[in-house]
Amino acid sequence: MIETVLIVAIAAVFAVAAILAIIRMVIGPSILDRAIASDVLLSEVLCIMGAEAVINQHTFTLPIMLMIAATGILGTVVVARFVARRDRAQPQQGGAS
Amino acid sequence: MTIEIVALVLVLVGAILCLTAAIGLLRFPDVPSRLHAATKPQVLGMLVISVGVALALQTWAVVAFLVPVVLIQLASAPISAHMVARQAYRNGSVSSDHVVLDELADDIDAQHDSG
Repeated sequence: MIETVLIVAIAAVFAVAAILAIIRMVIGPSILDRAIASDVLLSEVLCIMGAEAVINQHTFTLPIMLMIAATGILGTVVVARFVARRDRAQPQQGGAS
Repeated sequence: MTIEIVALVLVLVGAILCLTAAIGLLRFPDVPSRLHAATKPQVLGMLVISVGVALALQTWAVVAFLVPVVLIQLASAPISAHMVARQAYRNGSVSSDHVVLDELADDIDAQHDSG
């Protein structure tokens, strides 16, 4: 059955993508890498909501998609705005003046 | 039946785009290239998955939900990428060896010189 194969493939691809993003979130050298990884993970949640609406043929997840799309930017912007200036991946000589 | 399979294939394409974003996020060396890998495929994947949802459900109300989602994603992804890249430049995560033309440094110097 081709639909079952497609659904299993979609689930596997999403799972691998989420695991890779979580690995980057754990080992990321600076907090900016972690912010990018959390942004990617949130957008994958958004995509998974859409995939779930397609697979199960209902519309319950569409308002959640709208809210995640509207508020998902806030976390990344706040982290990038208030990160400490000396938190860098590898220290360079001279420093930021 | 055929429409449903087409929608599932579109969702699979979007999932593969999310996977490429995650692979680029894991393998690229520094913050700007990770940002480059992370921002663009997620927007295109979101767009393709929204087309898939609209094809699978086939209601104008669903389209009315999905158009703001896609527009907000298109508007907010550059903002967050810009903020992260700005902070990465300012705390020294961007190596100056990889920068061909650094106009921001000239602007910052000019601002410091002018007081």
